[in-house]
Amino acid sequence: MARILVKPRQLVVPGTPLASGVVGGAAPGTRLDGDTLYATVVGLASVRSGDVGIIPLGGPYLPSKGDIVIGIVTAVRGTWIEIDIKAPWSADLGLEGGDDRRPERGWRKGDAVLATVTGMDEEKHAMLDISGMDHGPISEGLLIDVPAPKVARLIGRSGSMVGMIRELTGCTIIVGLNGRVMIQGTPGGQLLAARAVGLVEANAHTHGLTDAVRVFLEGERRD
Amino acid sequence: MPFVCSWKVSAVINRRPESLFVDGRRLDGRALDALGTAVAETGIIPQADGSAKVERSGTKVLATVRGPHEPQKHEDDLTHVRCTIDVPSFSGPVQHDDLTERMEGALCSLVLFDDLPGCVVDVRIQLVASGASVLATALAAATLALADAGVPMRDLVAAVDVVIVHDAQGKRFIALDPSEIEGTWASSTITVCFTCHRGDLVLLCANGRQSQDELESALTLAARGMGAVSDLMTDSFLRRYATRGEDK
Repeated sequence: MARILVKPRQLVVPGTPLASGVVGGAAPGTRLDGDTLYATVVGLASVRSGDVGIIPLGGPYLPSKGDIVIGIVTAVRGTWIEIDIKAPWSADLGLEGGDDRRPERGWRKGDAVLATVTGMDEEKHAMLDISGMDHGPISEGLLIDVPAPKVARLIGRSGSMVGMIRELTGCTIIVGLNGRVMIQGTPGGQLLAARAVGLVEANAHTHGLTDAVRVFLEGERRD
Repeated sequence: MPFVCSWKVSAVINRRPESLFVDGRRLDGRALDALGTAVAETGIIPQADGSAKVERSGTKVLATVRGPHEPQKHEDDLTHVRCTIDVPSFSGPVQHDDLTERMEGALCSLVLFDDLPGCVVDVRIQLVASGASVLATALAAATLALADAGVPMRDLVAAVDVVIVHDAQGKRFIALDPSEIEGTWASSTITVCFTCHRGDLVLLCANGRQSQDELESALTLAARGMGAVSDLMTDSFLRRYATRGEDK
């Protein structure tokens, strides 16, 4: 039985011992040395049913299969496009195939695109696909960056946080799991939604955030 | 607010004082095994992936991190952590000639690249002011900036300098965390770097001559000061998230 050495939501830094007497593997953001589990990143300790993990407070986006991401075109090659998805490795979008949704011509450097990660090659480059619903180039909107580890907080439980921001600002908000957020709507609504996203980002590690964002948005709408 | 005239300060440093230690204490009143004041902050440059500022012993260092990222196609570096050190002309003389190599060696042993194959991290050090403990301060700043960037690491490091100084009468003093003037007149400077939590030795770098006894005394003294230096490193994150919230 592992002995937990940290409290739930305690701030930990690399090297902080999290638990001793651990049998099994290490969760992301932790490493096992002997039978002691150590943190490898700055984050909040997450203790659930005897297991310890880390909710990171920063760091790069590590793609995994099925993630919906917003990328920026960095290079257009002959049969594929290189896309920056804020991961350490660039991602590739193939242009071969007969899908009508793929504009084989007209891709330009700097274009934003909504895509799904379909897998990774042996060098960790993500392969993207734009055949899903609403996928493909994004023509308009306000694109803002948030740290990828805070995206979960921005989405909220069952999409509650982003749903509330959508409802109170009247904007369409597309959240990429890689930490890019596209806001589409009226200029005033876009700015208000962007400020709400900034509020979530700045207070992602605190309790009662949904209420705080609701109070902020309702106050701004009254003004 | 007292008026400080810089040419007067230089004149004191360049002329060896009669004694650096009075009744077993230093000129600034500290005991030989006491640490000086130090300041560490993280996340001060939002545009960087990670950043930190550390001030200690008259040395001010700003560290920024870019990455992890793939190296460019033409780059063929063998190291995963690439350090660049900028020393502006106004920052003062730097005693270590091979700061870059020493820092890269220490940082490479800390960063975990298992989940980041083929990636490199760029660490840029701006030496804003150069006093004593340059290597130790730069290492502290680089480590904090790497942790701020979310780069997986074994541990944070606590680095500190120990100096061996002989006064005008030939009496020997071994002092922890030297002030700028002690660093200037030290016959030997030993930089010791331990991991904050486990206390593993990461770097031992000695300039000048010292006997085995002196080296052992210096290591003992450094180990004694490590707790406070470790607290400084950890507290920089605690202060940031407790008071200001995340501001990146």
